[in-house]
Amino acid sequence: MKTTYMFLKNKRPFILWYSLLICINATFAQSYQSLDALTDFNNPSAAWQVVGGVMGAPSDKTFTSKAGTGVLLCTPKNGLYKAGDNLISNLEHGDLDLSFDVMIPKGANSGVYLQGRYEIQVFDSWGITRPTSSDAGGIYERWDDSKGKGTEGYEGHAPRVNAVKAPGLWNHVEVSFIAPRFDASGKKTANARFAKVSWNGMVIHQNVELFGTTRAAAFTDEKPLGPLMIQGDHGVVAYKNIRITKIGNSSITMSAPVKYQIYENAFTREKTGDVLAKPVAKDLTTLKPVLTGETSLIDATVSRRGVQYFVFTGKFKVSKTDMYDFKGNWHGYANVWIDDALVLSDENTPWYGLGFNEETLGKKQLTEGEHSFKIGYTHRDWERQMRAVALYVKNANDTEGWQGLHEKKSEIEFSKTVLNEVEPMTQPIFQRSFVVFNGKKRTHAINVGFPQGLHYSYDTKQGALLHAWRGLFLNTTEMWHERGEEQTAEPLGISVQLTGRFSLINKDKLDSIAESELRYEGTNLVDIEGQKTPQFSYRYQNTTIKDWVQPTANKQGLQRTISLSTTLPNMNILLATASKGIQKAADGLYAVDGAAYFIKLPAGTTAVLSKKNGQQMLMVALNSSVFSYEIVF
Amino acid sequence: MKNSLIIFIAFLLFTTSIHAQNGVTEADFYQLKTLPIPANIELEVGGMATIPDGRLAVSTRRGEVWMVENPYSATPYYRLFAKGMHEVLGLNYHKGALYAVQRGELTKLTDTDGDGEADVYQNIANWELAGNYHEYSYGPVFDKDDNMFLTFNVAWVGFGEAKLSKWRGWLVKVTPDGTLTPVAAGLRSPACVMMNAAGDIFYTENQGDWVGSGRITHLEKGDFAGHASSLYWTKEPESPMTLKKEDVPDNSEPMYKAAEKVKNLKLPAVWYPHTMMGISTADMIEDVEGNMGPFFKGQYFVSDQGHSKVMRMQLEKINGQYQGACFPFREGWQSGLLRLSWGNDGSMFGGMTSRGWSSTGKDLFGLQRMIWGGKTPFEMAEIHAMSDGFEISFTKPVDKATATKAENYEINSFNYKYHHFYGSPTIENKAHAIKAIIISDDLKKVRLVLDESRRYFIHEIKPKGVKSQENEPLLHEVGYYTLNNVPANMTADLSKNAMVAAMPAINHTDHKAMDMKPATKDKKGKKGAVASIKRQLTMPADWSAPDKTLTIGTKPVMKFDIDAVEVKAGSKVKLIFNNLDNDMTHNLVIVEPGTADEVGNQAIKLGIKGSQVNYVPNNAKVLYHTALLQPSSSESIYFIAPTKPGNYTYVCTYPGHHTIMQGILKVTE
Repeated sequence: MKTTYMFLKNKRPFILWYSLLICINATFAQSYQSLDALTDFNNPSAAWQVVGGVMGAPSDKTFTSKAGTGVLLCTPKNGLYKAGDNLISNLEHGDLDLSFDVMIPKGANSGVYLQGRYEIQVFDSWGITRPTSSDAGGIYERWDDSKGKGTEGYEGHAPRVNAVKAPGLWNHVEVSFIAPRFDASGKKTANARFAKVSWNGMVIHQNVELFGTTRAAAFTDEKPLGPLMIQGDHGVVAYKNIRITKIGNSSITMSAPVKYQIYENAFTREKTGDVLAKPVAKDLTTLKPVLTGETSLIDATVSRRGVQYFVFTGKFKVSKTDMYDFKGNWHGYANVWIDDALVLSDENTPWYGLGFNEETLGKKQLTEGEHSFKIGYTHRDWERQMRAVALYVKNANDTEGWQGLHEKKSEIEFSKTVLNEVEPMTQPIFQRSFVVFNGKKRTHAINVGFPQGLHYSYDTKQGALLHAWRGLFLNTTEMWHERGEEQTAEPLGISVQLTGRFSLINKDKLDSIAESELRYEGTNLVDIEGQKTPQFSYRYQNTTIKDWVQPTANKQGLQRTISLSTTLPNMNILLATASKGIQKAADGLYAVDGAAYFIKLPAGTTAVLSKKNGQQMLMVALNSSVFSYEIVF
Repeated sequence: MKNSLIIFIAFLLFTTSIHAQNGVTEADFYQLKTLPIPANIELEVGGMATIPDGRLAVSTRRGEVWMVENPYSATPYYRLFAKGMHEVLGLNYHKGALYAVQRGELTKLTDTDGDGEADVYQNIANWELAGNYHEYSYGPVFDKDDNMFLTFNVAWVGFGEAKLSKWRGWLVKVTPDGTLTPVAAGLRSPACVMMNAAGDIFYTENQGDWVGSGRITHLEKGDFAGHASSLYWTKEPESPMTLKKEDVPDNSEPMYKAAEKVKNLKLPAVWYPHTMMGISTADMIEDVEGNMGPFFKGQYFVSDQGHSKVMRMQLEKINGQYQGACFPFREGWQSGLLRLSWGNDGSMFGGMTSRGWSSTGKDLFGLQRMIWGGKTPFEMAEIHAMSDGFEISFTKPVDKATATKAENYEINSFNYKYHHFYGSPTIENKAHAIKAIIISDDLKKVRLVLDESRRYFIHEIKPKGVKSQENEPLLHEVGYYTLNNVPANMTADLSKNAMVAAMPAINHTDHKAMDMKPATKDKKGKKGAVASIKRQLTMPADWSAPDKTLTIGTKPVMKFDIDAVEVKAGSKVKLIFNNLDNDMTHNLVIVEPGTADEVGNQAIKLGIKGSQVNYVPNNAKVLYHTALLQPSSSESIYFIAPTKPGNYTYVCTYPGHHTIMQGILKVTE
């Protein structure tokens, strides 16, 4: 009866169908349990130490570190393959949602074992185009010596794509794990499962069932609970932000059936007879419901005809007095009352914006025991004939995770399968589209893809690099499926966010050239090493500026070149901006924004670091008429 | 499987172009040739331009420009000339170069290295966008000074909104140096901007808010074409007018009443009555050469995307203003007919796409060519306004006996509401009496003197019973004339004319809505059956409960959500019909097996009367039906299932829907 739903933490902001207004999910303090101290682990070996930060270039096999806390750094002291160097958590877990950041030096090998048994491989796979189960993100093979040499490994799962970044950069990994189930006699009734694994934002596994433990597990048997294990016996590796966002199952339960009443003609218009005016709910006490009934959980699919107003009422129980978070996700317009207090509300949503997938969040203090909820809902859909209401609740101060009070079928379901995929074959390809950057649509953007598997997006109006990514090129589903209401295209690979502003900035004020002063002249396809490469042309006063990007020869990143018809001595070139810092990793190499990517300068160039409006800026003085730099990730 | 495919194709052929009763069809005069398209090309046509050297340039919604070489043959060759642009809905060829209109940019495409592919995408001008999908941009047309004209859709946020980005809902002019200035406002969804041989600019408009029905309007500087949202930008210094949205009457009176108060408000030259002509006016080209026959020389051809057809338009100038008539011309194109372009041989290319907007032509996209075969169809060639009525000129001499009988004509006039609501019903409908009919000596002109001259009204002119001298019926029996101006001194002298035939007034509006009257007889003759009527909205008193309740809904792709339902012969049925569509009206009509197309075609021919009868024709093959339901509404009807088992059809007979919107009511023993 009890239903638990995963909290999709990295849910992509859903862009409203109707206009420029883009809603980002409200940032919501998410409770989690950190494993960032050595005391969180059972008898850690001397290989592990807590440091304040680590740094390395892509060619470095070790890291330099600085004192402090927050980062778990492994440096084996007594040679490799000493099992004692593996880090085993004190915590034992069953179902678990976990996220962590990992930095992998050149040639390194590590792994994260759920329940000490099921491994997500951590490996320096940078540059590998066809990853296997032993590459970063792989679910490692199981192992059976009796199968004979060369065939011992079986049931490994390669990641869908190689999503690993360069050595010296942090990778962000999220794992949602479902533990195996056992009956009273201890017999396994359901296999363990990786519900979802994503690496640097790319989903690399979904619903992968495991028939047993993977190779080099801490245990060969399977159990309801086990510790988390981080491999430390294969060499240098660093972890941080190891966070348990959900463990076990919610203790919140439904305590009565859900009653529903459905009304028709429940609205009038602000202006009589005006179908475009805002609908105003009538007094329900004057109306008779056209349909009433009971379900065990909230279910908005009980009726589907005309324009209806649904009222759901029900009760749930919480096991302790505490602050509780509520989350609603519906297709249409709803208000939610808990114990008669309005907790989730669409009151201020513009009525014509209804019908999109946006989470509504709220909080309420609850005492131990039973509480009531009431939902008033109308679908008021324009494009889709969907009835969907989902209501989640969780204790704000623990990691039990969200408890859904609704049927799975009552959730919004949009197909997010890539229907239209654009790929460069032998020549660069480009596709103009809207591109979402920092939550806003850039309307004059272009996406450029190279056969080398490196791609970028760019704002032609502002001469601005938006994103760089590696992998497949472009998902154009939101442009070419039906009417293409979003008109946005999305990267199909691991991406890094770049400056989003023009790179010529004046030296004093550190401002970019204003869009009004910069005229986009057009795009020329120029032959660069046999590839017809887009080159963007701008006019600024009497200067013609050419701006183009191509993959680096070693395919480790993108090279951007800016050339000017006259020199502009009052200008700097802006290479990167960062709120999480810019650090020098080696000569001419800077790790940007918490080591999300590197900027590599040509030899002999002096970088200028400055700060404005809380953002660090990496620049070079514009002394020549041509300048190139690399973005490595 | 194979059999059903053959049947399906046969069905398509059968349903295409059924018109004149003697079996003569549009296809006998105008033949369609389908250009093969390679399987890997999604040729969702957004723009088209004929190149003088024989190539056809086609731009797509996916941002490409294809050069179709050798397009006048069964073996065209497709070469990718440009790519990666943002939804190119306008393409033109001017002085050796192609110009493409993207969503936010007018781009000149040039192949400088001679490899057959553009390598320079020059920004001639760009403009603001808010990021709304409905901010489509169209054009360019060139004037003699190389200035370019473009039209901009308003955004769609549940209604047409122009204020999200500048000059939405405007006709704009771009000078060769790239300066963009506004010219005329009031546009909603202006899929085509064109300039005729006289140098006048016209645009096509789609039904929607502020737009009661499709229409074509002549635009001059400072004109306001009716959609009020764009007036938000008259606050800008470049605006050629100061008119504000608040100044525009929004009271559902006809548009001409508003034009009496608002001097900038420009009345359409020709209205395209919704569903009677088409549903989404798209492109427009002028036939300067008489490519479609010398009898249509100087006329215009207008495509309709939703109805996959070409319509014909004839303009005249009265009191210095354009006005005229539109006529059906050639339907049965393969997909949504967005673009028309003259081929170098005088044939007409049609470029098509239906993604996101279902069309009568079922293909997702396509490219076809229409050729006049040289024969003369019997048609109304032109309709001219007179002081006291109209003069119709025919393509062939008329048969005097049929042409002088008033009962062979129907003349109705009507108007549309002007308001911010979506669309409009026809209003102030009137059936006209014919006072006199005068036939010209060459028998090619018929003068109709009417009881009343209704300035500003749309006139449905239907010489349905008039035959040619060779006894042919008209290929199309209707035209719609927009009478903005009535010419002076064009009154017939009835006393001097020998061919006068005075006619009694006849009342055409006595065609009652079918749901108002029970069917004359219970044809089933089933003992004890309730009196059968075709639209029973309450459960008959002698039923305790229905034997079966059926629920049928609609999908936004012009489909029913259930392909087949089953009932027992003679059982009591309650049918709940939910129109779940968001912007289309539908009905549900249950008809005798195999008669859906007959009934559907008859519904189309109802013309102006259709909306009064829920688009349900008076035909014994119609067994039961619902009303025409607005989007997001529902109706339940009660009926006794037919006693004879078989596969009956339920069909939506709203014009343009019946060929694809069908399902099977299986009646079992």
